[in-house]
Amino acid sequence: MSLFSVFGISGSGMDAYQTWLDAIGGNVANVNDSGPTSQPAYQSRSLIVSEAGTGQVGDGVKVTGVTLGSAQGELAWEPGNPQADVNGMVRHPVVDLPGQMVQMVMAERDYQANVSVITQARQAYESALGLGT
Amino acid sequence: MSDLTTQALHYAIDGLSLRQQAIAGNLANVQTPGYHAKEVDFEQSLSQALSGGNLQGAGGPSVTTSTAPTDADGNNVNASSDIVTLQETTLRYQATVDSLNAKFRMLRGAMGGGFS
Repeated sequence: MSLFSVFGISGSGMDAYQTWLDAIGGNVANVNDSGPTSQPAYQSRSLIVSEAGTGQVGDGVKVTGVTLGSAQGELAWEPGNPQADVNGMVRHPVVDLPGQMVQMVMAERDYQANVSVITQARQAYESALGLGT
Repeated sequence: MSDLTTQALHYAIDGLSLRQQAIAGNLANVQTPGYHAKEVDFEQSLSQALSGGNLQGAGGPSVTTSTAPTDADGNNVNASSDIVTLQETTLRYQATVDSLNAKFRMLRGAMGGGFS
């Protein structure tokens, strides 16, 4: 346990939710990708988070992995697309856009919750630093 | 020097500080599947020890895992109530530090150093 341990805990939370926002950003940016059918589609990323450490107070959270969505994507008939194959088909990724937007709001709120913990902890630490003066 | 008042305030500061860390951990893990919220209680052991007149035998604050119903992910952090408790904890922390400062001012005054 460090001197100002809340900063470490909530910092790990900010880190995790920032990473989540990054993943969502990548997914939304690639929502309209198209590619030749010979290549895999963009795979939407979702994070695996778990409690850091051994489950004691003060351990925080960490991102332990990423799961990838379907590389199969979905095929669409777009003969005018320069990437289309002989049958006029291209491959699009499957990104659940409404789901991503909902997750974005959640990640943003959770990030803010962690920031507000840091603000509160700072006030408490400041008062403790003034002890005896 | 370390009389019952100082000891009790010190104990409360430790407990409140641990509660703040527990809440920080809960809010960091608000999306972690299977995470169970942690709760800190020190009021019970403190009042018990105070009614006995000394804090020597008082154990530390107790950390328990919340038994509240979980959501589909197996997570039972209640973010809104945690944020309210966090505000309360910070204010109580500051009030306790203020009380400790008042105690130190009294001691300083008694030793001839002025009460202010």
